Amino acid sequence: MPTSTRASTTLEIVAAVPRLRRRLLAERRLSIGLILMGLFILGGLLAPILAPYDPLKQDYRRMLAPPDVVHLLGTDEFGRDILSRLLYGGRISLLVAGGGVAMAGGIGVPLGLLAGYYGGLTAAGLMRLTDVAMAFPPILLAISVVALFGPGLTNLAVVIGVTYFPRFARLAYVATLSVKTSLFVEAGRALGASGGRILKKHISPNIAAPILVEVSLALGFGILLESGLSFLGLGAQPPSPSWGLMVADARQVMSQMPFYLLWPSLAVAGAILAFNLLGDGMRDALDPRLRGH
Amino acid sequence: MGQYIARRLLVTAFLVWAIVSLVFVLLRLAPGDVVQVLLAEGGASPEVVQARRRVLGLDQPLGVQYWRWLSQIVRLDLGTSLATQRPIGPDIARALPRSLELVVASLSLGLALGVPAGILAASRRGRREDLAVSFASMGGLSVPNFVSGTLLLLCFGLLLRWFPTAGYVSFSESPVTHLRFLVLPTVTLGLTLAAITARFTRSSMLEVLGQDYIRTAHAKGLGERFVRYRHALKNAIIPVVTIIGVESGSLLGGTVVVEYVFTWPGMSTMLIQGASRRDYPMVQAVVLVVAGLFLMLNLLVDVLNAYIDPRIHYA
Repeated sequence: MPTSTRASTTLEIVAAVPRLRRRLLAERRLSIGLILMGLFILGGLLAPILAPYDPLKQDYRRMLAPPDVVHLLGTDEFGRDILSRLLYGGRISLLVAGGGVAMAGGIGVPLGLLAGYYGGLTAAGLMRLTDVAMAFPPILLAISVVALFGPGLTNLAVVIGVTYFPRFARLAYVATLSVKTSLFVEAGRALGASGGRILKKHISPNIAAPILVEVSLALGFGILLESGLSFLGLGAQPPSPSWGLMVADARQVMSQMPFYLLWPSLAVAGAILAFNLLGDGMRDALDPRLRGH
Repeated sequence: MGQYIARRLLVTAFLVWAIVSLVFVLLRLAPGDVVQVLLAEGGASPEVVQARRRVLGLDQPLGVQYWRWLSQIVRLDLGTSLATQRPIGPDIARALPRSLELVVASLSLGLALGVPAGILAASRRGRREDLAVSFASMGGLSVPNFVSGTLLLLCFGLLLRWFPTAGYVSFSESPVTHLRFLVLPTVTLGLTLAAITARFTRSSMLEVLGQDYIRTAHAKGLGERFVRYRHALKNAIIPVVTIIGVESGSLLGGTVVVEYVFTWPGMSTMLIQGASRRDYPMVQAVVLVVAGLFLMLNLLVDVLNAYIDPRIHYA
């Protein structure tokens, strides 16, 4: 990231003020996003240490208990500790979304890089294919894959990978096209660098920024898809403490215990918000021209 | 322009073919065999499996199957449900208008909220109104439909009892009750859409307001409102229309979830039931219809854009 521009005239300094303010705003978004993401990841990773109870342990003497000292967020309809389930639920979201996005990026980015750098008919055909894939409403694609392969966490990760890799391919392709003609790539080629070396040393670092932004947004999308499909009964299966399933459970008993609904709702929205803020903030901080305002 | 529309029609036709073929391929990628999966759970004998495969044409070579599939689609025959043994077409014909009603209602609400909010934020850039709109739209984008829908249901259906919680009454039966059922799902979907629209209207407006011709208009002494609505908005709205087209995919997807939350008897019931019973023809039919709808919407958006913006070159 380039440091601040050296403003030589007063005019330039005056012109830089709103940009600076925008920058700060972006950074505030970034820091809130980072904090939320940190909480989410730590909660998921440290669930076995932090969780006061086994998330699956039922206690029929304490069903639908309101929040108190023993159960900080209360218990669900089977007497399971809601806080513990939330923490373990974060783990599921993290694993599924993380795995899915890793798969999407791992397939999409190299595909886009190669297609962008080498061009040709194959590349054009490949990009048409990504057009077709992107012309498909993501949740429909997800539901069709579930219909074919059955529900389950691994399948969910695959679903996220399949729905999102065309976006990564497209992005890497477009970014590579714009970098490929720059002087430093030409210089590298003039010095006799191989195609592989140019891709690795010259092009990849220069397209990393937009891809990082996309990774963040994709993680938010992954969490959305995981919880949404689990809510519909097409993702994680009971008694798994997936947030989507918890919302579905809470919905069943919301007339008796409205607050139960609040916790998993906050968790899902907070996690998605974290990655949206992070992606947006990074986009503005890394390249103000990309979104501009 | 006629030529441009013709070309877009051709591209759309190609995409329809691609999706129809993709669905065909996906189905053959399924682990094992459709019929085996279906009957294995009931412990059917091999003879029964063979008979079913013959009925479904799965014993034919792939080329023949593909040809049959294509000609079936051309005749708008959507096949027979494995679960109910009934043709799927009539069911879709009944459910589709209900889903479309929801889409149109929430699209209108989203635009009616999102466009003015975006204009307000852009013209009050960096001030309190701008921050409020940015904050609200970020929130709207981050709360999934199934969460906001369930929360709305809890607040306005269960606790306040302003609206019925679940069910459906057809418009011809009782218009007022029908509309009362429509409110909460429309608000759920409309808010997400408003968030997206506000965001794009804002950045598009800001982009346009920085242009030279806006400064010229101001320099000519035209009023602020006149410049904003007659000069800026006209150009700013074009990318917004495009985005609506792109987002209509997630709108249609969101409809599935929201219909489920509010037990609105649209396409989602067929889709979700189909998926959980692994009723492939059902899922396949719904996916085809919705994807077709999505492509039509995008075609409409492109034509609309060409109509609004004379600068779009039809090359």
